[in-house]
Amino acid sequence: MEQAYAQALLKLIESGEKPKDAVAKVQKALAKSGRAALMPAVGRAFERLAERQAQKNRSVLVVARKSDEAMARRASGAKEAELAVDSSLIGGWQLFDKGELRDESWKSALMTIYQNATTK
Amino acid sequence: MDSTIIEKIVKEIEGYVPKGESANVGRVSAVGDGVVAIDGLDKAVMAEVVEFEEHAGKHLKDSMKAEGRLLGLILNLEEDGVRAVILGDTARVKEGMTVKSTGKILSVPSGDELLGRVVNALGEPIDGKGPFKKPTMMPVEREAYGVIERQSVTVPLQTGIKSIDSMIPIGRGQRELIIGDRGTGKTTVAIDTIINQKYEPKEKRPICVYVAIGQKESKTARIMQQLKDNDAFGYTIIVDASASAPAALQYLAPFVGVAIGEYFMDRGQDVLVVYDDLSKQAVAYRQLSLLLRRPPGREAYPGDVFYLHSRLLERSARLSDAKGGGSLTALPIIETQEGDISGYIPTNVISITDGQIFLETGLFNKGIRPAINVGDSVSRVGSAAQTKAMKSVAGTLKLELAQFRELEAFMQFASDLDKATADRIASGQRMVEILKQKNGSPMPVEQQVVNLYAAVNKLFIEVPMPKVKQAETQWLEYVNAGYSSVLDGIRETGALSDEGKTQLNSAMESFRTAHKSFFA
Repeated sequence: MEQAYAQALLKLIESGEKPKDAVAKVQKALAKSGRAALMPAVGRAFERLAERQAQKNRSVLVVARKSDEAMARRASGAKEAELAVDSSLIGGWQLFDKGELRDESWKSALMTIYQNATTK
Repeated sequence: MDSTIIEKIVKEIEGYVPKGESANVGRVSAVGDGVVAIDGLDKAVMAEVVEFEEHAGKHLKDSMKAEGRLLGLILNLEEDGVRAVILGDTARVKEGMTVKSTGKILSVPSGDELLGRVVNALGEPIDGKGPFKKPTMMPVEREAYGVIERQSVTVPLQTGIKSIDSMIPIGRGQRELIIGDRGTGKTTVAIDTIINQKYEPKEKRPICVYVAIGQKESKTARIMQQLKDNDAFGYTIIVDASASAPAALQYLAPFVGVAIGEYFMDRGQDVLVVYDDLSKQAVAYRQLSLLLRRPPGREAYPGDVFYLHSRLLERSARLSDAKGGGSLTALPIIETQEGDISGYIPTNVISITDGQIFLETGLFNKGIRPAINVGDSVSRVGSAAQTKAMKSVAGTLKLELAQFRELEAFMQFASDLDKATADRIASGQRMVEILKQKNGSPMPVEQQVVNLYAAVNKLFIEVPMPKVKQAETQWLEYVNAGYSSVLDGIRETGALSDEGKTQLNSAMESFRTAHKSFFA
């Protein structure tokens, strides 16, 4: 139940409603249906949802070493993305952007070559 | 290192083109009991295959050591994520793992090279004979053929079992349920049917697919050996989702079986698929549905358990000539509890199929095997597919047996009965004896016709009960030796001509004289 209210709250905010007004509306709706006691649980569910949403909307550029940053930003076009370093990539870059992954890492290329050579 | 391997790697490197495209990804938020909740995957579609990214953070050397790809199948699309079943080892999935959408619906390999092979519920070979070289991939979920693409069932599928071929005939493209308690011989009927296909000419012989769902590995191994011993494995494919396989694979196995069969049907060949058994598939689906938090209905089965079986069995068909004329016959098996055919799953499958073969514990314990209850068994479309020869003897047989069942209760007062009633009972008893058949010994249709012709024409009525089976064997040998033209005629034309009948009548006369010991 609290999940559904939390989702409704998130949708209200996403549709342009001010957070304060959206919360007031949800509170009013809960009170009207005699479920005012649910509000703290709705708050917790909303926190989880918002965190997930933020995670989804994150943009992360992963490179094998810090010195690859400029090349990776140029190649991927991700100028604003957060930077992460993962040496296991060997070279190249990976871009996680709004639920999409573009994998141009050397490790991925080598794995594809290895899999094709051993399974075909 | 072997130079061919080096050449192969060089070729792969030269041919490597960077993908340059992005994939829709999500993240595992919870995992347990073979079901995984994934955040993200906004563009996922129902029944899509996803790949778990096990290599993140691992060094190349460790990634190369890892087992094959770990896949999942999306079964729930939710507001803020998806739920999927893991098609493999659940222990390999970790919370936070990246999951990549593949954009593909689950498909399995099929083709001639699968014949005589054992595969798992993902179509991967598990018989140690190596991978398939050039298989054709077939979608596991596919819409069934429509009305225009089908034609009526008119070609018989011989089971080699006298009581079935004569009274509950099955046609190619039909769906005939085999139902009964545990240990009543359901699998035996199905396996005998597969074995009997060896008597069919090679060009007309159906490809057989045996799908073992939730069965013991030992049973599947025994069936495989039995098929090998009877030269039936060469045209058979076994799909095995044993009792130890995850529920997801037990749920998928029948769909994999039908997908493999459809390849041959689309090529214009006939296919026979045995689902052993769908009760276990329903139980596996119930487990998955509950774990996927779908609302439970009657007996905790999900609301779409009917659709689970109807969409599977609807894929059986006899295609029109324009579509190649292939067919896919289904023999689903359902296990009942205490003979209760009014259970939820049994009634569902009874209503979906074109008839049922009902096996009874009571008959089995009385030594009547196959333990088919002829009264409760029915074939709704098969009679159109029965050969003329069989039809000519089956009509009388059904009537005689029905009369015998009516009179069976009076058997204990045999001494007080009038002659006509006593004769009818004696004839019925002998019919029942003639219809008995050992497992693993299906009989070609022409031999069945000759035996049943003799039985309905009272050849065995004077034979004492303990000698009936022996007399039947002798009679068949007698016809084989002196009247083989009758057998050839039935085999070639499917009919018993007037001349053939005259020959059989005279054969019966001479058999009586030649084998007086049976008619004492």
